[in-house]
Amino acid sequence: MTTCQEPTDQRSRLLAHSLCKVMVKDHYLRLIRAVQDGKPLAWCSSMGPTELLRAMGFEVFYPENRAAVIGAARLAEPAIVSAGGIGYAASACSYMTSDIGSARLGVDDFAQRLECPPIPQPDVLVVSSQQCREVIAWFEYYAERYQAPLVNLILPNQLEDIKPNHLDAGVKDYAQIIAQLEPIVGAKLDYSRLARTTGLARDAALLWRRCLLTSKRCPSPWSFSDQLTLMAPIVIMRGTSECVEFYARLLTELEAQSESQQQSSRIALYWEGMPIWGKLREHAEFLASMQTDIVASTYCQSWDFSALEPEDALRSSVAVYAGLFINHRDCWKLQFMEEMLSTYKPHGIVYMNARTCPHNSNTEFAFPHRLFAKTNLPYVVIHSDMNDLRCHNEPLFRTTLEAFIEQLRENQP
Amino acid sequence: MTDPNRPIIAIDLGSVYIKTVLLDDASVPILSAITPSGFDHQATASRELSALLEAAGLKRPEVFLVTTGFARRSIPANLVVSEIGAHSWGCKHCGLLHSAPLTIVDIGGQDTKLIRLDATGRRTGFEINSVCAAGTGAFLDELARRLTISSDDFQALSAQTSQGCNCGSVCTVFAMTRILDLLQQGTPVDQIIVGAYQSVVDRILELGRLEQQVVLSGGVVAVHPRLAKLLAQSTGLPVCIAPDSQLRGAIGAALYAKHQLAQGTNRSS
Repeated sequence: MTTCQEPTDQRSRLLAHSLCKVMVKDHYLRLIRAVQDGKPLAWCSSMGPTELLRAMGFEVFYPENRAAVIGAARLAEPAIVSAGGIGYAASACSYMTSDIGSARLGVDDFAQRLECPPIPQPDVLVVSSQQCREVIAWFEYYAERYQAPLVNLILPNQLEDIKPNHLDAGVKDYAQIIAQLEPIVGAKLDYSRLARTTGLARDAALLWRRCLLTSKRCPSPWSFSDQLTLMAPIVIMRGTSECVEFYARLLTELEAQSESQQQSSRIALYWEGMPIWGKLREHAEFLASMQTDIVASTYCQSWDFSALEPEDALRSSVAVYAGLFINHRDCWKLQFMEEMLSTYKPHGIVYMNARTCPHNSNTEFAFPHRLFAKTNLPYVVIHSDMNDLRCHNEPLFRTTLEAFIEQLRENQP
Repeated sequence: MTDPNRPIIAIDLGSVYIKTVLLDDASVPILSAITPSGFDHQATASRELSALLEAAGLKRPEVFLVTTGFARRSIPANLVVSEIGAHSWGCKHCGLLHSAPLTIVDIGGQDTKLIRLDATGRRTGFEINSVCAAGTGAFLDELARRLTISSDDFQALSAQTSQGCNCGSVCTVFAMTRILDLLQQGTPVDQIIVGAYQSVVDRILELGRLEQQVVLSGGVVAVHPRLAKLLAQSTGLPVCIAPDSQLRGAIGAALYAKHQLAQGTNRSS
């Protein structure tokens, strides 16, 4: 009888999860101690120049990571409502409204979840312009709230290709922000240290990429939920040796897991768009019951910063951060997607239309139609949100995915 | 092994109605029922199943039960299929697939689905409306409630005019506000009803492209057949209503189960 979906995920839980949890907590505890001991703290956007900040002697904190944690804990809604009370619209980025609303409510869900003291106030806020307008508005809120300087790294955006003039302009802007940051930290940038943090970030990214590539095997040794959880170190700790060591261990575990698994007939999907943080575990179980894996995603791929070059740290940093998927024109994105589909060979694509993140949703400008015309790969669009679960309809989500998986199975040769 | 010749009962647990069918050996529904879902889908479906079994003189272990629809997992079944899969199977086996692609539009109580089949009946894609209920049966029900008219009156009034007013199609609440405004301006009710139908059609058109032959399925078109004419006018495509459209999902689920039994691929029971 099939009243409920049967739990059919035979993968053993990765040991890396326990290690990751401890590492993240230790990271924040160490960060807080360091700041209490007088080290300057920069709050930085997720695609900001973290290697530079570490090299300059800053501790680095990411409000976007905090927002994702709030979303995953399903604590976003009251915060979003609260942010609405001071003029941040419900249709605006729910990362931003979750985080600002939490701050306004004075509840520190993030610290409670991590079982650590509150994150200290920033000495400086560093935001890079290529992500979206929302992250700049978000950082402006904190700049006003904490009366902290806001440093804006201006990178070229909506690119087709990155050209030398883009790199030149980015390096010039780096020079300006370095000049703004040096007085805050009270020291000149040590370029050999920058090379070291850049090298560590590159090494971690290379390992992260290899971890992601293990999903080419069927079945994948890890789920999308695993990937999203275990990407925490590459998001918040890149540029550190601990991060490199973590991904070396994870890769070893994934390869061992992969070798121990028997081949099986599963449906493989590509996920394009933001994750639905508050539904990670639920959806992992649901997909497992459908003998389906999300083998690759643009989101997880976006932290592949393996093009960083320690010997040309600033220039390669411009290339990497301006070269994000989100910062390219659709013609480039289509080509990127074709390469991803060729690498991971999914049976179909799931496009996530995040209601409050149109900038990172590729569903509104006929992108799925255009990619289908090039690849003939079936796709489906789901409507939800990364943090605001009021925009998520679980029965509709399940019906959509079930019907899509049925279709893919029926059409298999 | 499951006996491939077991009688098949299908239950479509829709958001508004529960539909049950029993297929004979020739895949023809010999018994069927349609009843309001109520608030307890599980209880209603169990009751309907018992009634159907009794009417057919069968016991539960003798039949192969397949479920579909919004609450498809609320009762134990031998097989479960999504309503998109069920309507695909139901429509491709009702004599409407003629060597050309087919688009099925299932207007349900709470969502609308657009399903594409190729000329061989293979499902090639589908779309479902997003979170808002605009363009679904819920929108028409809400309008009938506001106008305090029955579904039959709704249909009869719409036949009185070919002219519809613009009610909007983006959001049910916005459309209702617009309709109240139109009523206050003295717009005749029949024009408002046709306008509401047109807004349902507009939502269908926004969902995605329609292939050569269009078939409307589901319960809403059984009550509001004018939608087929308006969709044909808007698209210039041949549009028809599936036979037994309200039961089409249940029939399709049963046909899917029959296929699975014949293939010996079901893994349950």
